[in-house]
Amino acid sequence: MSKNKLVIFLILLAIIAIVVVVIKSVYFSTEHDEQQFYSMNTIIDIEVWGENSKSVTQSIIQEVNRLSTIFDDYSQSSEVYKINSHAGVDPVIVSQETSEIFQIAKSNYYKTNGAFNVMISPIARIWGFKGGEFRVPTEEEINEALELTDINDLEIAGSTVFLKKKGEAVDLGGIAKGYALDKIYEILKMSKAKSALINFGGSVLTYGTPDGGVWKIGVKNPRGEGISGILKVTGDKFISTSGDYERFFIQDETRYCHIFDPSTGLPAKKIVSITVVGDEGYLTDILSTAFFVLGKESSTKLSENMGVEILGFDNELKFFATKWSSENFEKR
Amino acid sequence: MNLNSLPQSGAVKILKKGDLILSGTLLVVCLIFLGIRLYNRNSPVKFLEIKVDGELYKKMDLKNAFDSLLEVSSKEGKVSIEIRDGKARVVDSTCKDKLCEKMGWISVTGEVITCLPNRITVSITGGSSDYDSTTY
Repeated sequence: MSKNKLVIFLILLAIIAIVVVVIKSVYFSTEHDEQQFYSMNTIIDIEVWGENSKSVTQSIIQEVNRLSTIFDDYSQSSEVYKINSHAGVDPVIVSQETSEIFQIAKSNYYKTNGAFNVMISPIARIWGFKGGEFRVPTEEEINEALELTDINDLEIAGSTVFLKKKGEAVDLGGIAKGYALDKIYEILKMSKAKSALINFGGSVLTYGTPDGGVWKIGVKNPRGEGISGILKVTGDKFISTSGDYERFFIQDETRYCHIFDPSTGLPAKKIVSITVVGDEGYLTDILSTAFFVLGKESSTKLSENMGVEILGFDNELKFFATKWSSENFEKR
Repeated sequence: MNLNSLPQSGAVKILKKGDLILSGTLLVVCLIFLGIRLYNRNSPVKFLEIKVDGELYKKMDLKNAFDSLLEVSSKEGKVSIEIRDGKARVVDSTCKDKLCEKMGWISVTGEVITCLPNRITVSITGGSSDYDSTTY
């Protein structure tokens, strides 16, 4: 009799223990915080799971706001703004971090055969993508602006950055999001966060393992509403996309988008969208811009050398991808 | 706790009828709470969320929302949001690019219209989303 009671007692104890554990895991253990904020001229969504998630999201916001003082070329207090306003005048003393970013940017000009050029600003300006009205400039205007995009005019010496000619300007737009995601990744690695999902104006960082084991990232449909499919990734990955639907104008039935081919000064139009998946934010970001300019064949080749995966849609909206990407992409 | 160290009679005494009822009740209550929580988590109800400068401005049950035209203002400007047949779109915006207008209708969980210059987002949340985030 007493033995039976002991068994019942133990069973009850076990049931209660299980219930407590389950309840705790559903209600409390996955501490979670999500924030949406605006910085660096874009919208940022952060979601963090794990211990102290609230303080992790706060550190991330602080870090991004700090970075905007380097990158924001519209803000007069940023280092990029100073470099641009001193073009053709004198070298500007910058922080070590800024000088390093420019070195990375410059070296990737060569690695991408000139498809990624931080000096493209004068071209973007004459097309109306830097304030003012959208317009199609004349050939003469384009040629004049192209003169101001020579990467050799970007001099990085120690802690100074100098643009040789007046009218030249740098724009870190093609690297800023990715670089910021690298910094966010560092914060996450140092924290006790279990997993996190960051959407930095369309560039995504997945960190850790979500509930279902796999992160499902929708890829924007380049034409029409919604997504073109879902990319499944595991663990820590950076995903960056460039497309002609982000910022564009249409004139006489021709679409003019915000990414320019540095060799012609015209909007790139070999493909309509490309997504790059990699292990480094800045590189993934740079390559999505460069690959958008280079088109399908060159991108596919270069992606192998660079150790990234790609998927995209060409001019006829035909899907193309590396082997890994096509295996992990679920088309809609 | 190590039950072996307890005298047998002690363990037996712990378990009275009242304990059984208490434990049983606790278990049932726990399971009810758990059920509610899990049900809510997989809630099929879709919401339309409007955020201004990152802060929630309005959240409504999309299915039961009346067809309407909403004007939402931020420090930067203003957008007009049309809600019809469980879908939403931006029909007018004070911004320059008008990308938010070009984005068209949204109705599927996870879809977002962002008006960056005005710092206003319109998104579909809840329901059963089949993806976590969108790259664009």
